[in-house]
Amino acid sequence: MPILKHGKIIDDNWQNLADDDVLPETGQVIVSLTRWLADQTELVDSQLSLGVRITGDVDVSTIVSDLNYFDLVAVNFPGIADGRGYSQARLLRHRYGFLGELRATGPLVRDVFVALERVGFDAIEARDNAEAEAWSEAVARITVRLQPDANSALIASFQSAAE
Amino acid sequence: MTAQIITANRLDTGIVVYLSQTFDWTVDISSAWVLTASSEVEDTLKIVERAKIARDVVGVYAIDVDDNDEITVPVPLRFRERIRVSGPTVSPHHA
Amino acid sequence: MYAYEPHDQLLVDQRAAQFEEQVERRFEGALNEDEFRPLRLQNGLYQELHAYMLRINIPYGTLSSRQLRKLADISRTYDKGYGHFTTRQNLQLNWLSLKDAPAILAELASVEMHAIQSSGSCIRNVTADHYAGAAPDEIDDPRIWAEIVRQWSTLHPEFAFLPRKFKIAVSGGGNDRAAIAVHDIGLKLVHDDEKQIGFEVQVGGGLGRTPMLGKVIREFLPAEDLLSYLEAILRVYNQLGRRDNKYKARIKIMVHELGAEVVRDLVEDEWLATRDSALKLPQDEITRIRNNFLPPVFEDVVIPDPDHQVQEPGFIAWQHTNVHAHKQPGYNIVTVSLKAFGIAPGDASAEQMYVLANLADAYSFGEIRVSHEQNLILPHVRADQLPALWQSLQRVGLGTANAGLATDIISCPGMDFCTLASARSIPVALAITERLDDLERLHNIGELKIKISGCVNACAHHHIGHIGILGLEKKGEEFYQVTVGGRADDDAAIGEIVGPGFAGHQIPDVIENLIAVYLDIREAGERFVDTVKRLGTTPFKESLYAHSQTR
Repeated sequence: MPILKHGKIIDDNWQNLADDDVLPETGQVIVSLTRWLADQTELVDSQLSLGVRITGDVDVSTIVSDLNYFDLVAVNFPGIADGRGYSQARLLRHRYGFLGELRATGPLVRDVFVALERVGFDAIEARDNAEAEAWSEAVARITVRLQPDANSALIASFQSAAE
Repeated sequence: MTAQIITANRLDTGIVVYLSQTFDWTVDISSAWVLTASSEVEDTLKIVERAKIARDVVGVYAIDVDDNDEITVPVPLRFRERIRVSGPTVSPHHA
Repeated sequence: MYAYEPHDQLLVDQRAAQFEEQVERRFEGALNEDEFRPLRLQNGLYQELHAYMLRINIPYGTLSSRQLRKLADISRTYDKGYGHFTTRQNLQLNWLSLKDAPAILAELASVEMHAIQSSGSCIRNVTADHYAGAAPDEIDDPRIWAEIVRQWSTLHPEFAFLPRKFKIAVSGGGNDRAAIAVHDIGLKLVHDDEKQIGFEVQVGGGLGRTPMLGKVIREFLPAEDLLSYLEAILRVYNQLGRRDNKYKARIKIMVHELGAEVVRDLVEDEWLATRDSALKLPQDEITRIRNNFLPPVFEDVVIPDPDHQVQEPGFIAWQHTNVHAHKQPGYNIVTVSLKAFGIAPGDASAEQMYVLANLADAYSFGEIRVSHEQNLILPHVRADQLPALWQSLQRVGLGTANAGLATDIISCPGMDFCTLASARSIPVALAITERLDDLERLHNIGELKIKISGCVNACAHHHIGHIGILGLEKKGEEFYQVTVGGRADDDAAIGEIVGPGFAGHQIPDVIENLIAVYLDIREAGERFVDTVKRLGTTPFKESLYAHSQTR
């Protein structure tokens, strides 16, 4: 599935490792939280860029001290109706100050792109190319913001219409 | 088994429709295709699911009907389904 | 009334245009039903038994005459010329096409209305006391705060896909007319020791399959911290609320399973981290919203001498039940009953809506309210104009003198319309009304709230009816379970099931029986609920199952 980063389709160099996949020498790998907790020393000592994927049941406050090791956190959305990931992203980005790539993994459709970006995701796994290519159109559909966003600690006034 | 017919609601208008033997959706329950074997119902539901006509409707399912020889129009057994056939049992008196 | 700022208008316009595009994609097949359903539900659109139903928000129950006319127009153009006012201060249109829905949303936007989040697992229409701004006992106008909550909750990016629906109600702080104890969050306006305005916050109320009353988790929340506190509750719920079972997904179950203490600690911890964020309400923003709800310019009214007013018994009866005290001397609040004989509770025809819009212009500063008891309210009526108003209401079947009485029945649409229903509700309501159609007798019985839901989802709030009726289905047959002693006032209580269920046709007899017991054992001045509170449900049960045929 195509990956959007700041709204542009990118070549994705991250490799999603299953828990029993052999660790490559170099490159960028995303491991499950389970594997991270089990193989932490090995992973930290490797030459790899590290990403971790989390599911909706993870209390993100428990991984705060680990965030320094990660260049990417992938938050999984098992379906459109499961919204736990929005709060996880919001906390990771805003409360715990994670500055790496925050990636929403799906399949995700254009109708949720605005909300995903507003809670702090900078990367989105779109359902297909049609959805990915619709990004600009989709984010222009609703431009009014009635709440502060995760990326803006303060907004000018409580209500503001984005330009 | 109890005889069954297949029903859904039209995607565009939301109105109640039934599957006819010609594989069309009809609003007329007397044109509904009455299936009498459970394998037949399962197969038909699977075919409908993959057919082009599935795009025109939402919520496809089979319902039990009374279909003895004296009845020419299938009558749903469940009260809810009879209301779907004939509309609300109350009418707005101020219309 | 709140007047939209340019950005409020832009939002509803953009939302209508977005939905038009989503519907197009659905018709083209680019969205399948599983993907589309949450999108249409978050615009208030349901697939019901016979057609699509649109649930239109009437935030905190406040409508202008212009908006009511537009609702009438929409019901004529796209529906069958009537609408159904619900217990959540919404209007439902029952006979719509999906293809017309985007145009209807655009029409709503043209009068500063919308259907955003009127369904779906998100924060629903915010409700409030329907006497807001007029009630003599309120601490502050709850609409100011409900509007602030409406804005904050509208398209909140974090809370669009909660475990389940989420309902917030605001009471003005006097008598609770907003049923806050049965909401996911109930906010009651209160003063602290220094007379500062704030809220008592209840969490975890709700009806449905497992009825529960809310628990107070904060006695006093400073008003400026309202949104950060709500956000803290929602963030805790969004992460911890159950998603494995839809019947256990409401926050009431989370509060029940974790305990109110634990929930309070989680919320307070979360709140500590956010209370001094951008969510703290700036005073000028509160003032801006408050200025939208300033009272109208009242006139000096010479209060008419009752002896010289209209002496018609119908008027006197109507004045007794449908006219209520107002904070401004010389003015009254008027309940316009949508419970006329033979009419489905809460239904109003387009013609009635037009007439009422005109009457609101003539007699109530162009304002109308929708109550959670499925009636309409004219909030600011001069005492000397009551007879003229009553006569006009009479002419269009809106002058029924039964507010709060046994025929002021709350009913959901039930199985005549609703896909979720197990049994019909409206015919049961009509049968009771027919049986009790004697004004003198009704007035003698006094306040009695009967509420009929067609399934366990409890849209008609049967658990908090003085008499509650729940429609169920067994082997394809409808039957009805009866509860007694529920109430939604400051002594909120869940009704007690009296025993085995009844067939639909037995319900009028059941009601008669319960009323007879009450009339027999009541003490002077005692309402039905008072008698139940004093003596419990036993006398009612004994009588009911001694005399009536059970199933």
